[in-house]
Amino acid sequence: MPTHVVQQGDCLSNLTDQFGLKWETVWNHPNNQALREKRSDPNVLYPGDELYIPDRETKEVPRPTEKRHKFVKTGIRAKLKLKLLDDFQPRAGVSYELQVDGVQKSGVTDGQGYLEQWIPPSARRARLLVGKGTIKDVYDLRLGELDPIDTEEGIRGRLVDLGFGSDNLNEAINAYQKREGLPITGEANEATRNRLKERFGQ
Amino acid sequence: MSETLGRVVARLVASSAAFNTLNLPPAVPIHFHRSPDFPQGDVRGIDGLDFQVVNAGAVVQLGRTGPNGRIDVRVPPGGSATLQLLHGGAVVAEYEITIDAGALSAVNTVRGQQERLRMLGYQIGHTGTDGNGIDGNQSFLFERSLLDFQADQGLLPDAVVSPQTTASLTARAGG
Repeated sequence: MPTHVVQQGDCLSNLTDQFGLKWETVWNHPNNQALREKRSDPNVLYPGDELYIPDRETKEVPRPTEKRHKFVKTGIRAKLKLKLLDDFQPRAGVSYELQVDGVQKSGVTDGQGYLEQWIPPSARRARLLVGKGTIKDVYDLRLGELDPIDTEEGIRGRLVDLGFGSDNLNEAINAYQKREGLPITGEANEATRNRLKERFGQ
Repeated sequence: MSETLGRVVARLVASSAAFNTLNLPPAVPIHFHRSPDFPQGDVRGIDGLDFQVVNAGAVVQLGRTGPNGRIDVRVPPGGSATLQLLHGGAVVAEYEITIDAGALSAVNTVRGQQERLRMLGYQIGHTGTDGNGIDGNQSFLFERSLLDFQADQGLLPDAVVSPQTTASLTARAGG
């Protein structure tokens, strides 16, 4: 088996959950060195990337018979950590509802506008509703689908999340560069990619 | 709904300190009002309008208007958002909203007056290349709409575009 070709929506947390391994075991395996160098962030893989999945190790634990023994399965958890902004100002203390796999969680963002929730590693879609009263902001989230910053999809995805959604990528880049006070080129140059990564958080 | 819609975010592995940012673009306030003299005074906002806002193919706002009839539509700089009014879950009206200082023609042109009259709900016909009555010509329907607008605003209804008329058009429709 051992090489898995990454598909859209795959990421280390859902893959390792699927194969019953810890993400560190997979990511730090010597056979994944090339991938580690290519994608510095284990959370952001790209379709077509090849990930080596090592075999599971067998653990032997001698225990006497006729007794009860307790084993704890190490769970694999994935996290959703989001920073909510309104025109680049933190949305502090706003209430939200998060629906993942039919489970509804609710909470309030912290003083910097962050929300943090544990989610099942296999979840692929979530809906986040923010605000109270009769009008809500809606975010339909595609979990684990963030692409690397050096791909067009990676640039577009981050821009859309930052509120620069446009059918025309160059116009979206122009608008973003203008908002950030960067030279307006309409191209995702290095300075723009670095700022985008820093602003987006990943 | 296609599978390519929505916001992409990473699912973070347990030890990660990373985060992803979701930022709302600037708000463009849109008001839905009843005709100027209904019922009376300033209580003209249409409340209870169900709406949704769509951007880049995904629903980004969902709700129902309050008594002021106001919706703050989030419009991405350099892009556009679609405001849809809903009735029983079905889309009954749709407005494309773009931030562009030059989107409305100057108020001292017939075209600019037609655009604003149309936004305010006056019937200016279906002439012009887009079939929306905006053709830059002083037609019969345009003059009648202007008369109606002047009367509704308490101005002298003479179909002459006075400074008071343009000021009133700008105040009511923007730009």
